Amino acid sequence: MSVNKADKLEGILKKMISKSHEAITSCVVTTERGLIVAGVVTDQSSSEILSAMVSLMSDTAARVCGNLGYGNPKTALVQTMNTTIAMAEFPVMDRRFRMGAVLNESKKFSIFGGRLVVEKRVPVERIEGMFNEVTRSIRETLEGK
Amino acid sequence: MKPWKVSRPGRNYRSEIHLSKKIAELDVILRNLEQNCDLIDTALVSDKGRMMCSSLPEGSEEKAVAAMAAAILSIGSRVGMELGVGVLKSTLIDGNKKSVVLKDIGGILLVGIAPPESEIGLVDYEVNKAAEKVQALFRL
Repeated sequence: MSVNKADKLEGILKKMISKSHEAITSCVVTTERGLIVAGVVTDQSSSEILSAMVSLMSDTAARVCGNLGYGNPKTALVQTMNTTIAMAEFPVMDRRFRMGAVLNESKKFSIFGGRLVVEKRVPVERIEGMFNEVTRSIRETLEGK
Repeated sequence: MKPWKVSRPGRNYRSEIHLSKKIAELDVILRNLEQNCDLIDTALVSDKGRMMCSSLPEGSEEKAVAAMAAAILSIGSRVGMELGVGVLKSTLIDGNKKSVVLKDIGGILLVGIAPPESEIGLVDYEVNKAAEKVQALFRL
């Protein structure tokens, strides 16, 4: 049974979320106009709101960099106490696509064998490496390679 | 897909074979488009409301679909002109049961019908890709 593009893209995003050991709770891929190409949302946010905010982050970052003369932004981060919203731009056939993800940076506590266990999340620095890998897979899928 | 007519002796074979090849290529473009982004049905319609090529199901009113698509383009262009939006590129009709995407390719309309849960961004991207292939085929 052949897998269609929409399922392939969703599979790529789900694999990234699982590899992050639940550090990434939601992820969307959008076109330059903010239309959703693929999305996996596991927390209370909706994919439409997340994609709209990812577009807003990208456009705002582009304005900031444009006004300061630093060229086009590649990534942008917004951090709160326990959450990071990350956006990365990548080209697909001369069009600008964006990937946005919500990262939960709080540590997870659990009791195992009567002892308190702290599970560490994947650090934010490694998330960038994951983003690069995922955006490459998404680009190859969209370009039909 | 409707079968193309067999050419009769005395007619211009070259132009008919050439046209048959174009229809076959359009068919491939539409099939790939449906596979790539979950479109249920697709069609190519002239701006005069004539069906050129389609994957619409048996029993559907091709003439009605073609005429409505041309009418939407015409109304959309008029509205766009009145509101100063410039040349109409595409139209999206979003319903609770299906969505319809219409893309203007310089005199040819690409019509796509999508299910309600489809990702519009992916549909938009693949429709644009298919439109470029149609443009290249007709050298528009």
